[in-house]
Amino acid sequence: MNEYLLFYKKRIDVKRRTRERWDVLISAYNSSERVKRLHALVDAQEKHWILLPEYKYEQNERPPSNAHVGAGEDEEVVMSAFIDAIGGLAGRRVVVDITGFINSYVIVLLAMLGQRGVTRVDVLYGEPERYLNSERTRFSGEDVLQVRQVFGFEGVHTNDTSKDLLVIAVGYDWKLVSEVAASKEHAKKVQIFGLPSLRPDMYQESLLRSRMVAEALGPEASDPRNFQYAPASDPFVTASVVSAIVRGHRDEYPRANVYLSPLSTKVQALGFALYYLRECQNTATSIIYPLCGTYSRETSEGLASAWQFVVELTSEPSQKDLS
Amino acid sequence: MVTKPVQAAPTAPTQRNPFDIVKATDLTDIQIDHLFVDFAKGSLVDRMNPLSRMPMILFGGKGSGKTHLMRYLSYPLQLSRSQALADVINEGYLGLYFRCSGLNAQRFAGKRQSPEVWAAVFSYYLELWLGQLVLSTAAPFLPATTEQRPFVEKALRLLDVPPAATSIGTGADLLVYLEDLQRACDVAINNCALTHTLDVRIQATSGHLVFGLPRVLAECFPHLQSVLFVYLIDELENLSEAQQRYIHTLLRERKDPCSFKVGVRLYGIRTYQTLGDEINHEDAEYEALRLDRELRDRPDLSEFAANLVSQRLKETGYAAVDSSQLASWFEEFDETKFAAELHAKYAKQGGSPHIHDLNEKLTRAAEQGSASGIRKRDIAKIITLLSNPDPILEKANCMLLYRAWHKRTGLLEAAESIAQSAEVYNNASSEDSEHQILRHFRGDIIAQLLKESRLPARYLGFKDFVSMSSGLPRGLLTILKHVFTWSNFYGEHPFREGQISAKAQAEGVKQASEWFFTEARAPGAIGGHVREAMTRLGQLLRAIRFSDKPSECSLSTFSVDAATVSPDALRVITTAEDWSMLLRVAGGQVDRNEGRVDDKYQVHPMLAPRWDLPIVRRGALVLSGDEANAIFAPSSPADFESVLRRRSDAMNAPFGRKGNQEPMLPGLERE
Repeated sequence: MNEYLLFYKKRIDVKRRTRERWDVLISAYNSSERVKRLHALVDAQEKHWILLPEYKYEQNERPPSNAHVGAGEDEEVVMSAFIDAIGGLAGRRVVVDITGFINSYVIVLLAMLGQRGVTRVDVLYGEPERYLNSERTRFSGEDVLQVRQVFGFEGVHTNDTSKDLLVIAVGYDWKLVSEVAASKEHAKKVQIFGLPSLRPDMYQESLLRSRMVAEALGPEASDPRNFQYAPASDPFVTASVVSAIVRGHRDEYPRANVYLSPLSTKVQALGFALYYLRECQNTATSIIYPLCGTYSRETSEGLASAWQFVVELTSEPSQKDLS
Repeated sequence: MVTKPVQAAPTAPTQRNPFDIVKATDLTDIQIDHLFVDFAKGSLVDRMNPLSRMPMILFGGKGSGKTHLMRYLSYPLQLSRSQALADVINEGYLGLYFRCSGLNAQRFAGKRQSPEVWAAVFSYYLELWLGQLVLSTAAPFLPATTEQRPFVEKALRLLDVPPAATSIGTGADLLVYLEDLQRACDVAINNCALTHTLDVRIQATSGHLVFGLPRVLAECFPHLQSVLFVYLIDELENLSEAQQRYIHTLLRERKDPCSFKVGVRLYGIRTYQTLGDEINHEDAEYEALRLDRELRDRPDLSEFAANLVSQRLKETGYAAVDSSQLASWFEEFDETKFAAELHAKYAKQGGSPHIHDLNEKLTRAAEQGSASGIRKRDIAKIITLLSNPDPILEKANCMLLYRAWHKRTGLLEAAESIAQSAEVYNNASSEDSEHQILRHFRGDIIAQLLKESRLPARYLGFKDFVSMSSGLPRGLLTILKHVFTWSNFYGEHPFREGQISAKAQAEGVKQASEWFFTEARAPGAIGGHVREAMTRLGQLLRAIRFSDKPSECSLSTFSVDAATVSPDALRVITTAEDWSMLLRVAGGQVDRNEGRVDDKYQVHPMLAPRWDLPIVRRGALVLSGDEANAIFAPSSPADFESVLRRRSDAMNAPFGRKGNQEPMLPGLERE
């Protein structure tokens, strides 16, 4: 049985305050309506905003209370200082709204919570009604500084690079896809598309964008017959799909290096991180991400719906039913 | 020309695009072997000289063939072209290939550790990495496991901290041991991200394994005594400055029986310093091979390119394609057909656009030039004198008249002289002094005729494609890939039946040019600046090429005195060169007045279709420092707009003259 299917998720009513109450809410602030609304809807004893440095908010643009200004050379430094500022999290009911986060921070945060003794975290994600510029929406700035492994998700790689595999969850940001593909130019590449997508037109739009990177990905990965699919709003199925892709490759090439790059929704990034923490630690597998100097503060309109995912950071998923 | 014999090639023609795979990284070892092509004289393999002990740095733009060449020299390929292991040894070297991207070198930084700590850990890690590479490559050459112990004992003494366990008795055991050490290192580096402590115990001093293992192998096994272990280090650009210093240290301190070939992109060398702060110099500590420049400058490049392509075609079942006949598969530019096409268009629209345009400009100038105006009948006479059934000649006539206008020569007299000259040219098929213009500006005149009739620019034929690729085999293959796709799309049978149409070639070239513009992009903000600057440069060169009186023919090049250019602009120019968007022209441009030699750059011909520029290089636009700054690092958009307007006005009638300040229509009397 696929263990990822034992994890729980449920929809949240976005018209009312949450029925559940948590000890701590962690959100990343940005200007999207869905981020602010979801923050307001959650019933939590403490609510904390982190202002990610890439959004470059000025003093007068910051939320009025409980805002921690993130600063530091990388995600680990930023998030570590933030978690330290919140105080002890072990044993407390923690909910993280990942809607306003940048993917690499979602990944680092998940590992960090586990390391700080959090065994279960509820993760929220608010879906937009639409993206501002459809498939032309830019999530990141022009300036990809480097593509590198995400701290804590760096594998134990072998020096035989001939069978390397790069699995990319593709979204609208085709330039990021191109940069990641170029960084592992020699690797066999597999694209995962978000299907079902967050909104009906989004799959078609990401297909349109993927044509822009066909050259960088090579003929095999760009052949629609080789496309892979995972729901854009389900981390558990995403984890399961990635797991199957990697397993298939490793069955053939046991010593192959594998690189995972979640460039689509934050939910899929969560799925990648979850898969990594459960199956890939100390293997020849890394999560790689293109780091940009800036990210768009506002990319979407409205809050169409929201999901709650229960992520167990222990070895076995919880059997508790949320429904 | 030396080409590999074709093995197991498909016999039946297929619809598969033979140019689908354009990167060596996507090719299997067998494909690398089968598709390898070299020059008959002065082969690239000879230039690489794998038997040389002198380290080499192989520079090349993206797609210049570095990886293909380095992999061709690697052990798996040596083996595939040999009958037996002994043949590999007889080649005199073992190629130990690896990619720096596999090291994931960015992780050796940050995480609250000092750069010095990371430098030490990286050196150790690479030592283990290369040690494994030596052992795994040499494994097939080792004797029976029972005879390996003396070697292993010697090899273990290379480590600073030899293992306590005595279970390591074979080369395979030693390989596993080094793997374990590397693994421990990986885990410590990974944990460091969250624990902030880096628990790595360095067990091998720099160089001990890299140079020591090959030496011990040669000492212990007589059949390896005369073998040179050549480290083929590809993608050096993936290493930071501090990490490259370690590589430079290895190059400088090279010991027998080892040597190095280091592949790096043009922008990829961050330092020539060693860990001991010494500088490695070309031809002292290393020799350099600049691959794309080497390919560009070869007189037999066309033959090499034809062989490269025909080898691809043969491998995918197009056995009938002969490299010497390759060009015949492509529709070429046909002036007669072109003239007929234009006549058909002129008939529909009631005349040629350039005559219509000239008429309008003369009339407008006459109206604005003076209160009394000009005699209309002179304009009509001029038009009659310049008109010609040959559109190319007619266009040349117009260009000559614009020159006369610019020089303030009497226009009616000029038109009469041009008409006479055209008649002589037409009858005698020779060029008198005025129609020299056709020798130099023919390509530009044809480009202008195409543009004014809204026809696509012509970059046609295999020869043009080779010129466009300009030393980048991947560029050539990418053009052909897209041309092939479009040809199929138009229902043609490329390389099987008939010619590949001009329209398929035009579409393919356009797409390949866009690909190049996207691919040849530096990372970070500077990449954006370079793209914007190249767009401005392209706009300016295009504006001049399509002006009434272009100052230079076949304009794709500019020169500038670097001393007058701002540091920001210089940085953009240098980055554009590093990423192959600009090609530096050897020898530069001699300033006619001051005898100074200025820097000279050509827009990479792969980008030419983006702005309808020529792929050949003849004239050069001399830029002032201010103009170069406005193009490459403007303080505001207005800087460039001003340059563009000034340059454009100077080359388009009425050549910047307004009202009564200057004679707008020299020689034409005002009524």
